[in-house]
Amino acid sequence: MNPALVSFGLYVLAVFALAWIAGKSSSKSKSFVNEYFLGGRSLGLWAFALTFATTNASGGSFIGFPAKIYTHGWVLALWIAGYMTVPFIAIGVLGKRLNYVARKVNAITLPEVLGKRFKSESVTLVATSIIVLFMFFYLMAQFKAGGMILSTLLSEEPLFINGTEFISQFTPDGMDPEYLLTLIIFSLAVIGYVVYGGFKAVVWTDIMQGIIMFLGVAIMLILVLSQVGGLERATRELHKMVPPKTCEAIFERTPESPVGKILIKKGTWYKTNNDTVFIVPSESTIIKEGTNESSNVNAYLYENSKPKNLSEISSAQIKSQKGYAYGENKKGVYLTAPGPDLKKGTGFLAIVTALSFFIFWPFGGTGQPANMVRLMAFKNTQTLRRSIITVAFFYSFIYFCLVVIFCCGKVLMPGMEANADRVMPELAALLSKNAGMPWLAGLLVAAPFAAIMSSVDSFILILSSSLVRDVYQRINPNASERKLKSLSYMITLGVGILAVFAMMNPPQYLQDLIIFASGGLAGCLLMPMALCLYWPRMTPKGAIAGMLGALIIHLGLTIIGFKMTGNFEPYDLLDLNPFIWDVIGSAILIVSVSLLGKNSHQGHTDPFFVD
Amino acid sequence: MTQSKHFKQAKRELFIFLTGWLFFAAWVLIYSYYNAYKDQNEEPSITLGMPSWVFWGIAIPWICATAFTVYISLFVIRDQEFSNEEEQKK
Repeated sequence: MNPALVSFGLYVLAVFALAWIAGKSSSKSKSFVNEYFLGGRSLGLWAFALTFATTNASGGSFIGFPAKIYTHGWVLALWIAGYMTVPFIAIGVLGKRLNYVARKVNAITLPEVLGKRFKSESVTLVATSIIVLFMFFYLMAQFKAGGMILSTLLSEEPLFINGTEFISQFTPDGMDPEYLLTLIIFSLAVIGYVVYGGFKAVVWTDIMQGIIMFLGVAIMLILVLSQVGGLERATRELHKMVPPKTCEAIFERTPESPVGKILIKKGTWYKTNNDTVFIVPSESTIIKEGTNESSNVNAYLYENSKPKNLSEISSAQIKSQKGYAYGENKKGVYLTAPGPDLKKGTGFLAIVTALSFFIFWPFGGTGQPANMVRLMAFKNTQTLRRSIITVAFFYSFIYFCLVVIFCCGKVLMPGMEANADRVMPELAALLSKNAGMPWLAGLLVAAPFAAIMSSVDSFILILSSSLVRDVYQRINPNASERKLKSLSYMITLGVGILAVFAMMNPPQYLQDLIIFASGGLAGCLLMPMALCLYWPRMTPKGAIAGMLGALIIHLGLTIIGFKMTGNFEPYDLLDLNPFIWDVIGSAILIVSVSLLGKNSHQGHTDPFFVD
Repeated sequence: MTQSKHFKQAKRELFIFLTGWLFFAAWVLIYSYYNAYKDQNEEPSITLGMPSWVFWGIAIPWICATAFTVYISLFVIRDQEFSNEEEQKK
């Protein structure tokens, strides 16, 4: 059996074992809901720090982020730089206040905190609806990313191939049976341990996943630097590289060609007789035996590139070349800002966009419900202080090292621009193979898998806690512990299964879906939650106006962006991330509606602001 | 309405967090604006293996931000007692 698969399998088994132990521990608690959804508010240093850090680092950090570094170069250090302030902003700004008041009023979910602050059912319901809406989009995207990673590991396993053949009999046209099978395996694994173990299982597995992520990055860093010949050499090589051109390669049978079928295999480098090097990125084609037909394939053309494993073919012609909108033939473009870009003539990262990301990472992180829920679960302020330090070192290491790893990876493994989303598992496989340790690929691939799992499990739990606590318990306030227990299991299972069904035909633009959902969540919830904790004059009408206003702005910018580009991407008004407009709109609405209305809730605000 | 000690302290800490964010945002973005957006067609400017603008504009402020985080965690954020509703009733 594939050694990478064995080590990966051991990792998954360890996750299950931890979840089982956590589930046993949770079932002994007196208050099931408090224990299942918030771990009894008893998280210590490592549990709180690592569950916070890993929940924030989703599939995007290990799939989308490496793809961006590979495509645009060192400028991604500026793109991610806002993470240097994430620990003290995302934990510090709300942490102590939120934990303090949530304990004081015995709130378990975020909508409950808002509802208890204003004594308003409407506020709770609006917040719950927003969380359910955006969380579901986010969850869908993570399920797809999990399936993609599994397919890298399993695609050549005989058992998996047989399984794919079996499942293809029941798969409707247009649905990829391989993807469907990986989706089912991934979902069974994650949903299984979340349903059984609840919050504690999520946190305990997050600790292990955090360690795996840290080790994975550390090992990759050492391997990539040793194999590329040092960081300075990699940066100098990167300086010589220029972005590829997209083109059409036409393959024809010539008198010199072999008689049988000609396979034009994806991922293979070809060289034409005038020394042009190109790669066929996404689809394999066959010129059938005995025919003289030509085959047109989309390809990426590289100048100054000397790849290994070059296939010589004299019968290919290159047509309709098209360069990058920014960075074509520009030496040094991977070392500087704004970085090359295929579509945008102004480059990848204008300085205004860099500013908007410096705002988005820390403050967007602060507004994520998965993060805020964790802020309600730490044990005491000593834990909070030490956790901020731990998270700071964790993020500094992970994110800066990822930039170094994939800038070096581009030099080691050129030609993956068209399949940049696969650069992480492919580089892991290459580094392990070069190091003569194929089992290591399993551990390295476990790092992004751990990141996805740790996000998915948290989101499933937030969705189900919102439905159990903020909807069902409001309708049936006297429901028994036993009833709540079975309902929590059922709803957690139901949410997971629904996400799997929704992702059977995944949308094309995965990364855009993640950005839409995470930006929407933070945009709608950050200001209402922050002002609810820090501004006594805020009113329930102000809270509702702030949430709904941000929702309308977010959806409006997304619809405008869709109409303008035809893609599922929001319109960046003045080059600023839509999240910033959501927050500005939300703040203005909360303040103006609150000041215009009567402050009739001052008495109710007491537990939040008075001893 | 007399504000609780906890609330007053939280507001003081909030001010320090936001000032810290503003300082590092200004450092990174102003330095990068003047140094990262320059063409490097010929010899690249490299410090410790990375482009010099990354070293002075990202790596060094990142180290300082981590030091700042350690400092405020140890010396600025105050420890406070937490109690929940049930404990208060008791």
